[in-house]
Amino acid sequence: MPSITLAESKLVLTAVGKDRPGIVATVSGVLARFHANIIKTRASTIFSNLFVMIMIVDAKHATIKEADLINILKRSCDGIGLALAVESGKSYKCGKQIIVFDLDGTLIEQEIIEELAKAAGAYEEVRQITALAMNGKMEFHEALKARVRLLKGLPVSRLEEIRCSISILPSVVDLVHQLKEIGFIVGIVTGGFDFVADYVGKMVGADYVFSNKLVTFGGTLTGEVTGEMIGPEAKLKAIKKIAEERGIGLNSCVAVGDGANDLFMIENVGLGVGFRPKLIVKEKASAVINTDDLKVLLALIGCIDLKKDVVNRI
Amino acid sequence: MVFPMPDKYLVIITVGPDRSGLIAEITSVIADFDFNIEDMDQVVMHGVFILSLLINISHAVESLEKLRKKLKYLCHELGLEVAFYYTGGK
Repeated sequence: MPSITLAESKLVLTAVGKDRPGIVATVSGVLARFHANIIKTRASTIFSNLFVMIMIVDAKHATIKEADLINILKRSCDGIGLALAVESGKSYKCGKQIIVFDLDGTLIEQEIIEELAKAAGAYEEVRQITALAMNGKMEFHEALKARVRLLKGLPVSRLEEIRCSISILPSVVDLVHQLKEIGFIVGIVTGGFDFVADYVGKMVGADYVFSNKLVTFGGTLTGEVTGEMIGPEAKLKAIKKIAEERGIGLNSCVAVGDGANDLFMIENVGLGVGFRPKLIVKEKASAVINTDDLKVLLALIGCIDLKKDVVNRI
Repeated sequence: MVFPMPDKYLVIITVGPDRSGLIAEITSVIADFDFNIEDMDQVVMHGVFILSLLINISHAVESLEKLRKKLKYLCHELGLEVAFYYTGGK
């Protein structure tokens, strides 16, 4: 009999969350209900209160489609505050080397365009367009142009004030530091603007920053925007650019984001992570994190010894 | 000064023919007792299911015998052999 191999048909589940009774029962309960077989499990409490569980699952004889099984698993995990990543065996095994983050709402608290709108006195209109775009009800590039148009006449000096007021999520600097320490290439991809993106990139030590530029004339904004981060595929293109430059495959890329404009990259890289995601992203991302504890992200993308422990035995 | 009592643990090992649903059955019993699994290792070798669990039983050591009975019965039903090992500390 051949030894167990991580064939493409097998799924690797990584579940991470605050340790409490019932986690294994919940996840294995869903799998049992639909006749998916667990081939291997390694689970442990790490960092004193974080429970990490990696399962290799054979869904060959499952009674429902794989995509439906994954969605039910995601919902069950979400219900008990557990972050979950589901990958094909092939994708899991190749490991991850590049990680890119969305900016607004992911690395920083604010939506910068809304801060600009406040300064320009057009907050309500801009906020409504943002909400439409984030929930996938309006094309992102149209929404971007429409919002920037409302900023026309805003003095450039106000941009500096806004840059000073942004708050990078407290754990982000640490996280990026740790990611780089274990050899990750870190990128920021945003449809937002360079005056913030470059600053955040420098603060956290990102290797790549892709963003747009607000057009200025005579010390005020003209209401136009230029740059390559326009259109639904822009973020994915940016990732491809990084991957090509480094000679790394898309399967080894992780994309982290929260809104509809992140969907395209989230769905097309090795591991797409919805970080405190909007509903549309939650449904489609192969990994979902609903806490702002970024240690969970580290564990979810396999950057803890536990994964090495499992990989060694595959 | 009060020293916290060290946690008490139970190690369970089960072996038997594999089929889907074994982990769900076993861990749901443990969850019903509100005991926490702190470490778990499971593998299927040549069609044989092998599971080991480290369970923190500190919060209700008195239900240990009840848990043991329940699991013994369940494993018998599932066609699994089971062994328990009680450890004071970790």
